[in-house]
Amino acid sequence: MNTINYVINSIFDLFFSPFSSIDPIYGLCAVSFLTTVIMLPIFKYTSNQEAIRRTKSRIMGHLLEVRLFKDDIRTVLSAQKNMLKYNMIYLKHMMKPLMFVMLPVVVIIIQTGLRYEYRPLHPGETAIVKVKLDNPGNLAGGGSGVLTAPEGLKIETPPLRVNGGEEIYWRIRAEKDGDYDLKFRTIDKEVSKRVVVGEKLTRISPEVLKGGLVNSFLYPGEPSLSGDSGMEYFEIAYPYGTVALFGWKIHWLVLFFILSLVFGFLLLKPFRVSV
Amino acid sequence: MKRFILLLLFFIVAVFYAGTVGAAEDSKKMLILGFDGMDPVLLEKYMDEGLMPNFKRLAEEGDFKPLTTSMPPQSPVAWSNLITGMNPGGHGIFGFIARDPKTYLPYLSTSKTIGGDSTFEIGEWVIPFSKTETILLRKGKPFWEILDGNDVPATVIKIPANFPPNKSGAKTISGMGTPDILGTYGTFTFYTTKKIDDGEEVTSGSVVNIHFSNNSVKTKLTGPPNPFRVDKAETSLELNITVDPEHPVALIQVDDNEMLLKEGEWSDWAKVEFKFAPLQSLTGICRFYLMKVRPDFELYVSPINIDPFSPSATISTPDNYAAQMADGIGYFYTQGMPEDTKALDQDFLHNDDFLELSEFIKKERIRMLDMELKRFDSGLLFVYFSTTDPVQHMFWRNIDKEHPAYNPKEAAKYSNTIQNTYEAMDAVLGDTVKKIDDNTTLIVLSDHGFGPFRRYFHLNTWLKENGYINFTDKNLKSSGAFFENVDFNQTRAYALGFNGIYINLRGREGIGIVSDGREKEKLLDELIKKLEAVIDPATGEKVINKVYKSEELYSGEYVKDAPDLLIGYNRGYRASWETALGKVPEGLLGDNMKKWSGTHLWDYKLVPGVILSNRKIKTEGPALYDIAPTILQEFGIEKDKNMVGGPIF
Repeated sequence: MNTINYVINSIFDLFFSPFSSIDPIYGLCAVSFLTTVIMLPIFKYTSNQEAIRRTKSRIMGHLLEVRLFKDDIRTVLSAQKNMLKYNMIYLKHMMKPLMFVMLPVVVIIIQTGLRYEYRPLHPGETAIVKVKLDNPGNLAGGGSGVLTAPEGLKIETPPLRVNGGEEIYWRIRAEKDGDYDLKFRTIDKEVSKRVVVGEKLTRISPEVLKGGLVNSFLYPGEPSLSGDSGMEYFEIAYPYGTVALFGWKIHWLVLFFILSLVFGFLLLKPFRVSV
Repeated sequence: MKRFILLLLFFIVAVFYAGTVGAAEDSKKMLILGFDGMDPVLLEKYMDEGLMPNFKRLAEEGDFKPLTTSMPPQSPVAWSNLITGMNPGGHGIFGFIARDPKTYLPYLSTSKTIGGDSTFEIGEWVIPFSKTETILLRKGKPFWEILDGNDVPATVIKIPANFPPNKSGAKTISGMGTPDILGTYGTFTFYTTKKIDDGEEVTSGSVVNIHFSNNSVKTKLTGPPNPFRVDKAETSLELNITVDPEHPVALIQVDDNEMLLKEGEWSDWAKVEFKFAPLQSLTGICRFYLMKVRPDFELYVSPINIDPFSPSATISTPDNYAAQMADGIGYFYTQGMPEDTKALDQDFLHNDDFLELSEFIKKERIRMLDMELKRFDSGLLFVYFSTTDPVQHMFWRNIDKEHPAYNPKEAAKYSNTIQNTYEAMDAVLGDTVKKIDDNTTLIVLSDHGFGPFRRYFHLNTWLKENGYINFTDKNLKSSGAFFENVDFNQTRAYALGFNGIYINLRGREGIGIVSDGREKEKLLDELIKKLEAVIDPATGEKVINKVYKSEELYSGEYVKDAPDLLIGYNRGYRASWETALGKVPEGLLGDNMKKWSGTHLWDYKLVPGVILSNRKIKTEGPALYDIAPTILQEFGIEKDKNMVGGPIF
C-alpha cells in the first residue's frame, strides 16, 4: 500500500506543482476541473444513459401533469406517486456509476485534503508534536524517548509525558523554510516524521499511524508506521489551511464541491452526458 | 467664438488649478503618536542624558513644550478634551467614575449598556425581543468625524474614551474603556494549587483552587453569564491541565486549543467559544501564562478579550476594521487597558511577567502603526501607545527613594524600568520618522505627566471628621463601599471618584439637604479653605495644592453633571482607593505600600503632558483641547463652534 500511495502522491505532487507558489484557489479550481473531466466519462460509460434520459423524461412528464391538472386532486396525487416512483428508479440508475466514480473521487479528495486541510508551518511558528506508544517501558532518554530535530527546527520544551509516558508531547519551533525529518527514538527503534516549513502549497501529512489497509488508504501522506515500531502514531499539529474566494474564507471541501458542480454542469453538453 | 474659446480656456485652467490644489490638500498628512502619561520632566532628563536621541532631534528641529492637561488629569477626561476640543463641561466626562445623584452610586463614566428589557420566558430560557446596546457617554463631535465629513481620510487607533466608537466613516479601533467579554474592564483568572485565603479580597480577577490527580486536573474557564437563561447562569468551558511528572512543563487544553508551555512562558492567543443556546454563542480570545509548575502550580489566564473577527460589541468603525487589523497583524488585545496592573498589584503576576506583557502590547501597537504607515498616503493617522502609563504607575517606587514602598534590593533591578520604557518609545519614534515624508506634520504628545504616589488621603474620612458626613450607626467608626453607613439626611458633602466632591444638593441628590445658592456657595468656600489648609502631620506638607469650583474650570452644557469641587492634590499625595468607591475608613492619611506607586491625579498644573512636533508651536501654553482645532486647521477645516481650544501652529 505504501508503494501505491507513493505513486499516487507523486502524481498529485506533479499536478499541484505549478500552483505551489500562487494563490491556492487556482490549484483548487484545477483539481475540481480535473475531477469533472475524469468523472464525466466514467459516469457516461458506466451508466445506462438511455435509461437515465428516459426516467428523467418521465419525471418531467409527471411534473407537467401536476401543473396542468392542479384542480384535479386525484390526478395530482397519482402524478406525485409516479414522480416518487421514477425518482427511485433514477436513483437506482445512479448507483452503478456512483460505485465506479466513488473510488477515484475519494482518492482525489484525500489527496486534495493533504494539500488544503493544513498548511506548512511558517518560520517562527510553533507546533505541538505528539507520539503515542504501545509500550512506554520501551523508551530511551530516561523514560521519555528522544526526539531530535534537524537544523531549521527547534525543540522548545522538554517532553511532557501523559499516562506514564504512553503519550508524549513536545513543542517545536520552525526556524527556516525547508522539508525536515523529526526523529523519535525508543530503545531499539527510530521513527521519522516529515515536517514542512514554508509558504508554498505542498503535501502536508499531520500524522503517521501504524499500518493497516484502512489507515494507509486514509492517511497516505507518509509511509505508515511499521507494526514493530512500538508506536501508535506520530503527529504534528499543523495550522489549518485557508482558501479565500473574493475575500471570503471558505472550507476547501465546500469550494471543491461547488467548483466541481459548476464545471460539471458546464461540461455536460460537450461530453454528451446525461445526469 | 473668441469669447467661447476664452471661456473654455478659463474653464480648463480653473479645473486644472482646482485639481492641483485638491491634490495638494489630498496628499496632506498628519501623524499623531500618543504616549499615555509621558512626563515632561522625565523626558527632558532622558533627552539631556542622551537616552532619547529621536525625541531630542524632534524637539530641536521642531518644538517641545509642556501640554496643559485636563482637570482632573485622568485619562478619560484628558483624551476626551483632545478628541472634542472641549473641556469636561462640553464633553461630559469628569473622571473614571461618575455618580447617579439619585442613588449616590458610582458607574463607569464613558459608556453604559441599555435596552434588552423586553423578554419572553419559556421555562428556564429567556427570549429577548429588544436589543441590548452599549452607548458612549462622551458628548461632542470627535475630530475624526469632522475630518470624515470633509472627505479627509482618518485612522484613529486605540484612542481612549471611544468605546463604543463614534459612528463615522473614519477607521477607528476603540481603546481604554473597551471591556472584556465579561463586560468588565479586565478580569483575569488565576489557577493554583496554593491555598488562597478565602477572606482575601481579589479585585479584577478570580482565583480557582485546583488539585492534581495523576498529574492532571479538569477545571473550568468561566465565561459570560448566559443571557438566554432566566438565572443568567455563568457559561464555562472545560479546561484540562496536565503536567509532566518531572519537567516544568504543562499541557493546557481548552475548547479546540492545545498549548504546551514551559514554566515562565506566555501562550499565543487562544480562541474560545462560549455556547448560550443552539446557534447562539460568543467567542473571545485569551492568553495563558504558566508561572510555576512546582511546588505550587500557578497559571494566569488573561481577561477574555473580544474577538476582533467576531466581536460581541462594536469595537471598530467600520465594523470590519478590527477584523482587517487582525488579518494584518494577527489577534490583538481588544481590551482597553490590557497591561494587567491589578494582577501585578495583588502578586498574581510578578514584575518580570508584567514587563513581558507590556513589551508584547507595545510590539502589538508597533505592528498596528506599521501596517497603517504602509498605506498612509493622505489624511490623519493617530496611534495610541499605553505602555508608558502602566509602567510608571507600577514601577515609580523603584526610582523614588522617598517612596514608602521603595525597596533597595528591588530598585537595584528595576530602577531603569521607566527609563527603558521611555527609550523604547524613542525607538518607536525613530523608526516612524524614517517612514514619513516631508509633507507629514508630526505631533507626539501625552495626556498628562507623572509623579509619585507616596501618601493616600481618605477624603470621605476628612469630610466625616469635619462634620460634613454623618453615619447612620453612630457606633461604627467606618463605612463600607458606596456610602454603606452614611446618613445622607445629615450629610452635606461627599466624595466619589478620585478628584471630586459633591454637595448633597436639595433637588439634585436623592436625599439632598443643602439649598442651591448662598448655602451651597458658603459651603463650597468653607470646604475650599479648610481643604487647602490640610497638612500631613507625617511630612509637614500640604496634602492639597488647590481646590477648584467646577464653574471656574468648565464651560458647556454638562457642567451641571460635574463634581462641585475638584481636588488638586499636591505632589506625592492622592485620594485613597477607598475614597473612589465611597468608603469612609478609619484614619486620614497613610503610606502607600502598593506597587501602584506612581500617579497623575494631582492638581492639573503639577502634571502637564508633553507635546513635540516637527513644526514650531506658536501658542505659549498649548493644552489638550487645542489639538482637535489644530488637526482641523491643518486640513483647512473650520473648528466646531463648541470647541474651546484653538490651533497651536
